[in-house]
Amino acid sequence: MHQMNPVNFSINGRPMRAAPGETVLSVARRNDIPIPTLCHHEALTSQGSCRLCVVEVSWGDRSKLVTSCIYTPYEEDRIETDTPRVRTLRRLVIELLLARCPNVDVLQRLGWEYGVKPGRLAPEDGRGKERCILCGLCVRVCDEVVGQHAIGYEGRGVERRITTPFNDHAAACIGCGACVYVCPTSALHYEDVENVRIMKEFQTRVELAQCRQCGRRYAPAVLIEKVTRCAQTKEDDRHLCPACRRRTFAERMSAWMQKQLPDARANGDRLDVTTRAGG
Amino acid sequence: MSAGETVSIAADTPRLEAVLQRYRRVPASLISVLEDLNEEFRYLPRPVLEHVSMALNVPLNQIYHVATFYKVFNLAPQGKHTICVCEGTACHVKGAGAIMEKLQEQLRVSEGGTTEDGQFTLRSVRCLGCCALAPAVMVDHDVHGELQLDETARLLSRYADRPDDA
Repeated sequence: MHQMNPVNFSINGRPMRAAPGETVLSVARRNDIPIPTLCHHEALTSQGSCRLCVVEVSWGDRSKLVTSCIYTPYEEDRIETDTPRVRTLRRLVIELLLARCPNVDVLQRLGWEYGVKPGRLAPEDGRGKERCILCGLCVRVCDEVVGQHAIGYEGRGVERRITTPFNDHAAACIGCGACVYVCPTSALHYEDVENVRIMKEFQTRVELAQCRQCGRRYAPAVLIEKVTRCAQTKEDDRHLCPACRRRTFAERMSAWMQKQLPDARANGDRLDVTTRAGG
Repeated sequence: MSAGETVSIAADTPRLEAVLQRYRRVPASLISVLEDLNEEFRYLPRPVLEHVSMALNVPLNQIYHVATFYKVFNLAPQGKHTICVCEGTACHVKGAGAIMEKLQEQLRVSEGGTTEDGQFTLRSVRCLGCCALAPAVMVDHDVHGELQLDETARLLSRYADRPDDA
């Protein structure tokens, strides 16, 4: 935000150029420089909550650690992504996350990569079922992309957790599953049982709509309603399951091709692709 | 209003609206609105928060986040008087633990609980900021410093005996 012009700086000694407002993480990703992240998703606002993306920034003879997902570089910043100081902090972050969620494979892999020795911070009460690292991706996707604001935080410190307002079943939840999709640690789940979708963690139950062709229950009815309101998809397509949608599209396409082919042959085997496909 | 009573949103709309008007329904004033409502109703009833969500155009998930983040906000009905036993370092050393136990015994509630008659809610706080008065206990907005163990009963009676003016 502080820069109106592109910024010249360096990452690991390589000269880099950041667009105005672009973060160090974004520039690094563009240039295939690996920086681990858990709470970052390019479709969502970054909040720097997992602390895994820390990098060391030096200017003059000073340096400090910053979270690269929210840090926009200054002119002539020297960024290092893999110094001993960076690795030490990342190792501690991973150690803390593993103490909370020992059975999450993403964390186990990071622990192995950064040489975290298990045991030092193991929780006494033998929890091990916890999978949520409170990165907030689910809350952000529900707020920013889906726009339902169905889930949020509760409490603070060690008591903080992700839940629905008042721990009630989420009236605002449409069972879209965006939170499940975006969760980096598989802490959230949904299950389709007969004609309902159940979001286990939020106790939501939404009715699944039937495909108008094959009768399969394929998506929550409230989700389809929302899509109808927000997106400009073909009316017929919204009420079909993915398989039937593909098939009807293929059928339309093929009918169109059949119609075009004789003309095409007459025109010297060239299909006129500018004609609208199937309407 | 006694502790067990639930807030009927229809009956309390004027009180609620007065607070919302005070801050001209600016979304950024959420915390101030919640503070005033917490004072007004002595807790934040769910229907009130739902109304605030609509009035300020702030999603309920964010309001619930704020309301559960700050310790000053209560989501459950509180007693007529709130007793905060300071358990900061100085008060701890000067015997806050014993005072807490004594109060729990006299009020027959556990920490964070509200007495059956809805008179008192007993809470512990980390530091009231008046360490020179340790051990200190705050009842509503009054601080009682250098509290002796045998003074707790008299302290309670001073508040409990007041005629119910609610």
